[in-house]
Amino acid sequence: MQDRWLKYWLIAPALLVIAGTLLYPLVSGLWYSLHEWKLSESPTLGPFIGIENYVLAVTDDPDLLNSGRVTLIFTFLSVVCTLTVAMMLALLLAGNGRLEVNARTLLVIPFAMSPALVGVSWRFLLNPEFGGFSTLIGALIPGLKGTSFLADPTLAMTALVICDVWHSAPYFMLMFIGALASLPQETVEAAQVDGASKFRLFFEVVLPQLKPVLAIAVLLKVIFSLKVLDQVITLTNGGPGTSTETLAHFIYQTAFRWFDVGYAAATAYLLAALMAVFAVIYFQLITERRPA
Amino acid sequence: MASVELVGVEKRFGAFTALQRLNLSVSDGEFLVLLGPSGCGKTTTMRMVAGLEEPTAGDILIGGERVNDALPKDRDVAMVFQNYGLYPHMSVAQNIGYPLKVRGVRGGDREARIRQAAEKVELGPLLHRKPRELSGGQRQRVALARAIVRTPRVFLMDEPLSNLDAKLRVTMRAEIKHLQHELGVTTVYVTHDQIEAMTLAHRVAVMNGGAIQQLDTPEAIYDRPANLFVAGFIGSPPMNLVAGQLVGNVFQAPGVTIRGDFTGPDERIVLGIRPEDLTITSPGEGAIEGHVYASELTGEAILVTVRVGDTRLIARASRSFRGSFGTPVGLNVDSSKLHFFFEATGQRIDFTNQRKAA
Amino acid sequence: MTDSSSIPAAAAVSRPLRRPEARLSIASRRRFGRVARVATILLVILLFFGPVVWIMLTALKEPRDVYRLSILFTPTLDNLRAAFASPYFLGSRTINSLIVTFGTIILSLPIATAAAYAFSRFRFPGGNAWSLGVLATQFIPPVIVIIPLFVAFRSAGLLDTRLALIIANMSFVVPYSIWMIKGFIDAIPTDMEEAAQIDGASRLRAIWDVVVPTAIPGIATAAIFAFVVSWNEFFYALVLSRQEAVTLQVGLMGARTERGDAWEIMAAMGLVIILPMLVLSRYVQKYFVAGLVSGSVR
Repeated sequence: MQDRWLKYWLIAPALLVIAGTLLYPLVSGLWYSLHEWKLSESPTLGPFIGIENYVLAVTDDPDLLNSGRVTLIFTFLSVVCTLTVAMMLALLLAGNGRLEVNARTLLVIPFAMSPALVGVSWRFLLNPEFGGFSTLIGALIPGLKGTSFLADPTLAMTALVICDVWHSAPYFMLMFIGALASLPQETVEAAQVDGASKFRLFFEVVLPQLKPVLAIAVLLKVIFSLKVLDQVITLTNGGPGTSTETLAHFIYQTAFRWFDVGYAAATAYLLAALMAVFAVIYFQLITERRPA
Repeated sequence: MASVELVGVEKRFGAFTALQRLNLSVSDGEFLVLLGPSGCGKTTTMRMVAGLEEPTAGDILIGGERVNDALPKDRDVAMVFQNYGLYPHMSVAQNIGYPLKVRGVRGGDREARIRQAAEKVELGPLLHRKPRELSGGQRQRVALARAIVRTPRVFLMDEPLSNLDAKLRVTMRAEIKHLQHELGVTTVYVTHDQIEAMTLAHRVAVMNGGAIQQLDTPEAIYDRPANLFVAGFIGSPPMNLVAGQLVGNVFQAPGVTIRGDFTGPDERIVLGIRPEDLTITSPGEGAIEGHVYASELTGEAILVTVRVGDTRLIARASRSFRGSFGTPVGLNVDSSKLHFFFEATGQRIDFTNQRKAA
Repeated sequence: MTDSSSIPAAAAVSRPLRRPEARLSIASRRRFGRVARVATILLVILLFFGPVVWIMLTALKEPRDVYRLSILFTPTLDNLRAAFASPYFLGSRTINSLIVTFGTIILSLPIATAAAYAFSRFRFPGGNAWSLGVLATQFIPPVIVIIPLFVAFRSAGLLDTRLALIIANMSFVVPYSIWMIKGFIDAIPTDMEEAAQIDGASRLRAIWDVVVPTAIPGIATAAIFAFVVSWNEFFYALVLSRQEAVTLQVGLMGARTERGDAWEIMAAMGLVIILPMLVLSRYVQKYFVAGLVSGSVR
């Protein structure tokens, strides 16, 4: 019909946006990564050096290695802690009582807060002299009274994880509550009739049925954690030293503090490759779950 | 008002052929029903007339003019959808008035025509409501009113009654028939319900497997089904079909021996008898002998299933029939009301024509 | 509702068979369980919502109370006043944030709705790959995108402009909105828009008259999403703005001075940042998070 071209006209603006803001950066970023280019020294692209940036990154950059290690530790801790907390919250707040519903609405606020503000807020809350959270910790664990969380490498990582769990657990909580609600009620009732304790009920009946959702949650959280950046900048800014310098933060510093654009682009591609692995698995999962 | 013609129309979805070289002509003012089981291509045919689907080959003509390349909006047709297709965010009046609005009819004229259309389907007091506040039957009326508000050249109705309950369906059926008669607009109506087809149509096109099996008046389709598919599809309960052989002027099948005014081809054939053409007699007096397998009271009659050899035949008996399970009975037939089909091709064998020709 | 309430009633009838002490202990154990549950929920609320309250209260404290941990204090608007003045310019930063956020929404939603409709209703050569590809773009790390965007905006003279921030925001708002709105349009039956076309509307007009009004809940969901993520966007704005286009989020960094962090100013900025989320919290939960959850799990 005469409408034959309509569908292309309808998607054209969206494709233009995507091409301009995502595909173009993706392609030119790859091109930059094959060059030596210090933005501070020259406004135009420097000499082509092939894969030298990548070789350097993989073989001889202790800072990058450190960032990789920090990212993996952070990702592991934040995924495990966030999802555990989220599941506990989901079990606690899944009901439709007034208290539960209101609690859920309040808990969404941390997630709706900007990561940057979350970082700033926790920097404040963890202040050893007048931070609310450090005071609370000091009251519960006297040994930690007056500790400066952000000055100690291990505690700084802990702080980053706490801040991330606080920010993202509510989101996964709602995802789990949705999944819990869609479980067939008969399986739970059957297990109750069979005399299972609450503990066994959860681990032997509920959890196995949540597996598909859990798998998706793990993948999403891994992907979110791998690219964590805003909170890092506002909470620790990578410090003390480089103890919380995640890959994304390393790349950001390389590009916009040292203006080493070529090398930053190369390391960004390494991060993207790492994330792509998980993204591919994620896409396989969600396309499998969709009815054909 | 206009005629509708489909000439050699084909529709393929990838490798699947939904319609094969269809020829169909609907004359001006005619009520044509496309009848068939789901997946037979009837809805596809109608959607191509509407312009919602594009034919893969062939021409579609409305009022003698080729409309293959015309958009739905330019075809001047109105359609009633199975799920009514009402606009949920518009009131009843806005729904009915939408075809006028997009055509630039404004103000008082539009109001008057909306009111007139609404009155025709008795929706007057509901004009300000939203579709979700209406019952199924009322929604159906809104869809009808929207179709008649501007007197299109052709009405298209896609199973418009299938979402209504049985009682309402009978009422709305009569209403549609009356409206079509009053307005005299050429109508193509799709259904899988043979009662709707028989009661509404001037002519019925029985479709199966993407092809028209028979196109004729309801009477002719009932009395002279063109092939085994039509014979089995039309009628409730369906026609009894018995496979057998003609030997001279005798039809023979296990437990069945019928003499008649026919001499047949030396081929396997299928005999068809409508339940109402079978009369029950005492055992030994009929052309067919068997035992009562079950009897069911339908209200105005009793359906008796009789086991004959290894087949079962259904006869429509009067309410006075008494016979419990296993009772031996005979069945008589009027040999002028028998139908014969080639077993291989399924085509009807017409002895009368054969004799005349010979 | 009636079913579930009738079950305890039936259980109560059979109760007299039990010994009274046993009944009492079960009842009291239940009551204890309920109390423990409520206490846990309140603790959870304290842990998750307490910090938010803390920030908001700090914004209204006098500076000396800020550094004193006190809960009782006389509220003051001094911090907000200070934040609006030089060198923090909370006012112009709020305006920047509002312009960038609403600019992103106004530009993105029509684009996303059109594409979502097309992906929902038409077949494209390559099939599903297109719409999945759109979602896949969201897994590109921002650090990779920002470097070439920075270079491009710099040569185009767009650095430190609100337009640059809007364009950068569209890179994630448009694809995600397409995905969200497509989900809604998929659920809208096609017969309404077909009816509209037969009634005499062109396809575009049918989309505008029938599909868009019916898809309003989906478009609203995408609008809330776009609002939250654009309002909260920090990193692109940090890199792309200097002085003129600085948003609230980036403004937070400005309260870090050589003399240490000016907490009362940060809290005042935080208050302005959180306020819309609090006002919208009901919708944020209903549309933003629910939309995100369904979009990512589906």
